[in-house]
Amino acid sequence: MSYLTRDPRSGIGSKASDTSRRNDALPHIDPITEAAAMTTLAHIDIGQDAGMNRRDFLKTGTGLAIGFIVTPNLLMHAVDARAAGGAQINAWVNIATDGTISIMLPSSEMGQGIMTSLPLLFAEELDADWSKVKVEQADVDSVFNNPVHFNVQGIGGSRSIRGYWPIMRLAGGQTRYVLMVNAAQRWGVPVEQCSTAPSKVMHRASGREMSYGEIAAFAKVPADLKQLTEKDLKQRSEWRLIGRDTPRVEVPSKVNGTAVYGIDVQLPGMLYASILRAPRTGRSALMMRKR
Amino acid sequence: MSQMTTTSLTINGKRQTVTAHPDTPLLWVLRENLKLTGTKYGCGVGQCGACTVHIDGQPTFSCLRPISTLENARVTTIEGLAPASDHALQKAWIAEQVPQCGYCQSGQIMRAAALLKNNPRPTRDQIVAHMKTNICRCAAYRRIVAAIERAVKEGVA
Repeated sequence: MSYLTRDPRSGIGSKASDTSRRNDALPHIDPITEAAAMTTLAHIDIGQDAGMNRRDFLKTGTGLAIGFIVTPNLLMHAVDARAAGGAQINAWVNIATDGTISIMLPSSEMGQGIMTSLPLLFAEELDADWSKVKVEQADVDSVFNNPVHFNVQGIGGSRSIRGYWPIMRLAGGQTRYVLMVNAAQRWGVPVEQCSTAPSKVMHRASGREMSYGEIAAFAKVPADLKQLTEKDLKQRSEWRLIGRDTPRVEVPSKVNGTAVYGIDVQLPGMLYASILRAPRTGRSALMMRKR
Repeated sequence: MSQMTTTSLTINGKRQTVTAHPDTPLLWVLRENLKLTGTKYGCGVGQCGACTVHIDGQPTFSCLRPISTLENARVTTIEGLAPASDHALQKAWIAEQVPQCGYCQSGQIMRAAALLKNNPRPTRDQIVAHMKTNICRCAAYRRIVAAIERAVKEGVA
């Protein structure tokens, strides 16, 4: 798994379909991204121990795992992340039956706070109890690309919030809608009569409610799920989480040495490289000796 | 190849015996032999402070101390500062939301902890003068000083 934030398949600035530059002799190195690789958090364990690999969890864990396909016009198609037919959809969110909500951070926390703020956007529209939210680092996968930042998972230029603003909110809203649809179906009522409060769906008319964890135990992503757009999302006046000073989720790990940075990763048989520079400015290597 | 030697020392209260080339800086013994990666490599030449640990109670650049000089030394790293990560400085660091990227912060906290051990009531000027060995590219300096002052006010654990 690459811990660099840059998608090695597409390269900085190149379209996914542009293959002409990909096989050049030297990869294009973006100095900002390389600096980010050193300081970017590679992995965070927030709260619960991460004994189980996430892919294994998707196969064997209980609860609801939802992936999203982002179309070019930023519609979010929600799919069951454990879809039949072996299609492995990277889940953006896992809702466990105990109510724990694991939201993926699609990009890189570098101290700018997005490990908290991007999941917060998701949680706002999901109408999640923030105390039940866990943040996990997304895999390197083009489904998590930032359309405003070279269509990769990288960060820079204040583009994280700008780029993921519609995506995280729509994904959160879609997830909430999946939960509502499933609860409504279970209750035999129209979904339009349902509402949510943090981490629960309610049917006020009959006084019933169900927690997200309870729903996750049986929920399915309906094939004909209504497509939400930005106008279906909360108004600014309804924001419960956005705009409030929220303690950043990774700060505790940064004060006790447990936060893992790219440079901290040590793998068996790992190779190390150093840059060998020409002794004079402007000179370059004449030949390379291969061993 | 190169001659390896063994060194016995105490790290975070635990006796350890490590095998490494005698010139190996403590920083790399901590990070690679002992997998204590909380102590960070920033410059390797004693100019940034990211590698700061306590050696026999003194804040030290671990990038500059060869392991061969550390037989029977007592070393404390960020992981060993407080067993439950509840040193007054760590609590203050969270309350003040100090870290941004966080890379320099282990060194900052260890440097500050040494100050408070010797001087539990430093003035702001004393704090700033003491902390000059540690740099922060994210420039979280204001919050670093605020957290140290907060730890002073709320009592060092």
